Amino acid sequence: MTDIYQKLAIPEPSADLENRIISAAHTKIVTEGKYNFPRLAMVAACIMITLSVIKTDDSQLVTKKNMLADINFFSDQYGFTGDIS
Amino acid sequence: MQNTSDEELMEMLKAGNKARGEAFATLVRRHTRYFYNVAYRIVLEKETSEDIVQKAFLKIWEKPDLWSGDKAKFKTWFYRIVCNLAIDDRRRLRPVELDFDVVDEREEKDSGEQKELYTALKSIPARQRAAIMLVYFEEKKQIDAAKILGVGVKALESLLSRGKKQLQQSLKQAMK
Repeated sequence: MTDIYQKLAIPEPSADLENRIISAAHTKIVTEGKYNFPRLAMVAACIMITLSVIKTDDSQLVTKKNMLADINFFSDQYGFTGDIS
Repeated sequence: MQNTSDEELMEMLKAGNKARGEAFATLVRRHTRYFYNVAYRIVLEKETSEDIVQKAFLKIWEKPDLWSGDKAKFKTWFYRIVCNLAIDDRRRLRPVELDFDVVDEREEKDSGEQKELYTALKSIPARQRAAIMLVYFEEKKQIDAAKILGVGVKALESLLSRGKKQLQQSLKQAMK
């Protein structure tokens, strides 16, 4: 078991790691080395899908309202509403 | 500051005087490489190991009072912080492994024995990896390793035996 870890080659850390830690402590700005793009892309995609669904619903609602208004307008022209009332 | 002990540096950090920044910088320069290696043996990723060491150091910068000189030596105490951050990181990542870019990069670069070792180690859970590293590589006593991992000695023995078994199986498979 000891051999396994002795044999495992460990890549060199970034040359600026120590300075990065020290400056992060002083500035409180933490820069992470890990590449977070896949995770961020996934979150951004979810937000975009949610927003597009909300937007689509609203626009469809508006279209339907407009259609109803048109129908009412034409109905009134022929005096249907008057007959009903 | 070079000849000052870790414990004295921590006391300076806790005191919050002008020497605080320099004491912190000395601790960082003295231990970054060692704890980066510790983190790497658990997470097996360069960038994540760097982030873990950074997080651990920022923790002592922001809350130096967490360390108590009469309870443990600085290095033992900090070892526990790094190990737990590394294990937590793996636990958080387990449901969705999004680090495929990093894995592929490493697998492409390595060949032969290194690739087999890396694949075998990656196949066992981080806690088991940490237990094996502490007991067999760092040669810590079981009671100390159990304390670092925050488990009892029995639980540590179980982690070791499951980890060894799984690791041996993975190595056999990798060598076929």
